[in-house]
Amino acid sequence: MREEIKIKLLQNLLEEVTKKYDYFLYLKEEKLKNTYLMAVKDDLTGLYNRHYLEEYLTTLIEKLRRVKNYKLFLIFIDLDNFKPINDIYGHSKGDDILKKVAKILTENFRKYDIIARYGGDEFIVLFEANKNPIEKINNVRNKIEENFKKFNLSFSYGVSIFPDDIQDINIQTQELIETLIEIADKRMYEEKKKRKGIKN
Amino acid sequence: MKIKVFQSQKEVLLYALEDIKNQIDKNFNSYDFLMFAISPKYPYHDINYYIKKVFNTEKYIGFHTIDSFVNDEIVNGISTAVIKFERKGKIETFYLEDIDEDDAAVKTANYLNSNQDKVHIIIGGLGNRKKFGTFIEELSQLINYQPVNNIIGGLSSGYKGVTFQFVDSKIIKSGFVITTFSNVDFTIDIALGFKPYGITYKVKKAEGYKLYLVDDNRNFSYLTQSFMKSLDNFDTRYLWYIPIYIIDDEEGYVATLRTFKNIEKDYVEFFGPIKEGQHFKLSFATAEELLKENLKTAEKVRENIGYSDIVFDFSCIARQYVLEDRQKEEVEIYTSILNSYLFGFFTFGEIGPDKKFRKLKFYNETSLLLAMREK
Repeated sequence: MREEIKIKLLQNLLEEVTKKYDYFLYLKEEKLKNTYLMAVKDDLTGLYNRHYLEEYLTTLIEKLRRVKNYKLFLIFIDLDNFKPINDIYGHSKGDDILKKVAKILTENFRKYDIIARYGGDEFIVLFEANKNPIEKINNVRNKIEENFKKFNLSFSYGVSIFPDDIQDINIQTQELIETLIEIADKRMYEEKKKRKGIKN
Repeated sequence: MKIKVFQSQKEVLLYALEDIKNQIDKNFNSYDFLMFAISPKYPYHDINYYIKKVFNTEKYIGFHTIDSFVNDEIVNGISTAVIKFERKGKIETFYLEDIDEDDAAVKTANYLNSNQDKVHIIIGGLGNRKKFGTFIEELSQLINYQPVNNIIGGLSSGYKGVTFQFVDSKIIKSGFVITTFSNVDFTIDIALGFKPYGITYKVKKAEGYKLYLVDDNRNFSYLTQSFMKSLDNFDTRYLWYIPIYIIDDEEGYVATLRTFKNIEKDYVEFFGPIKEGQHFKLSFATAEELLKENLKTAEKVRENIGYSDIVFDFSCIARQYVLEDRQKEEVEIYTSILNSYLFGFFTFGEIGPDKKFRKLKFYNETSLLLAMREK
């Protein structure tokens, strides 16, 4: 009795269950994606966050230890004259400028370069290449200066190089990373001092 | 207690009642109470008059049912349970004509709370403004004793939502009648058999018996309509094969199912309350699965009570629909396992305890068994 009806009902039910299941999987994937992005990205700029940078660097260093004739340039960028923007125009304006700086960095480095917001107005770019990217960095700096002429915004930077700057590449990865960042930070600070001296 | 059940399927009310009276007279010199399950095909306004005329008694209750059970038969006519106590057994009735009255739940709870040691069979109508399932939920909150293992029943069934109870010369449309048995041993159990399938839905918007939206504001009516695809001459009853299975109500004696009643553009109406925030799955059962549950339930009841004078079966009309041509097997299983007289009817919803006997619940698509004997 009513066998055909039951079969059709079950087919319809199966179709709905499949649709619902697909949608459920889609939602789950989206949620995972969002959770991942929330975990690795900086809320304000959309760049990678410090946590992700360190995690990525760990894997990258392990890899580069095994690859010869290949270099990593760690570029430490610190904005110049950013503090007065916050003080004069407010934090909202400051946030807006940070977002725009992030956009310029993203657009002017290569798609596969890792760009992270390291601190308030500090950024780190991981640039894998054989050639020092100084020219590229200077171009980016020019673009930022042009865009924010009104605010007299610019940046100072320092570059550390793996393996060139590391005496013993077999030290612990974490220590190696800290050293690379410290060197780049120190070089950035020296440049900043020099630039201030020139301007003054 | 001497109980026997009789039936007549004569087309004329008076003839059917006289037919039953003749059968009773051959078996009983006197009796204490009569329970009538009456098909809605008979003129309801004549029922009280003819019962009194034929049986010359006020000690009865009657109620509508599309079909009733008499032992292992399904009857489309009138069925009567005749009760004669042989020791201390007693019957009394309590009824309310309108559950919309402000103090209806309080009055009923007071009656039940002061008769905790008795067993109560409650037979209600669909309700008017307030639905009976909602009334049961309200009543449940007011019952102040435990275990609540002595109240069971069902909603009488009728055509096009018209169903009445008959007691004390009254025709009750939006109320109920309780038949209370004293000095009896009893046990109850509930059979289900439906299994949940697929992924869980969450009720987003619901009101009373109506379900509007699920999940991310998905119109449940559209979803239900997708189940009806390619079904020629669609009949809402087809959806009785796939009731929704509410899963977060773990206190149910069995899972709480809700049977589809009506599909409108913006909502789907069920035969019981739906609450916002509830989770449910779709479900399905074959006749075989339902009958297996009936068997299991009957065996449990027998284990609990041993022998009984009478067994009552309150079985959902939707369950009977799903059983198709195997409807009779449900009562055949009950009577053969319990070896007792059986009286019952097709319900529009069942009333029984939760698993821990803490409160009353309103069920759909179940078969509810009460086995009883005089102390």
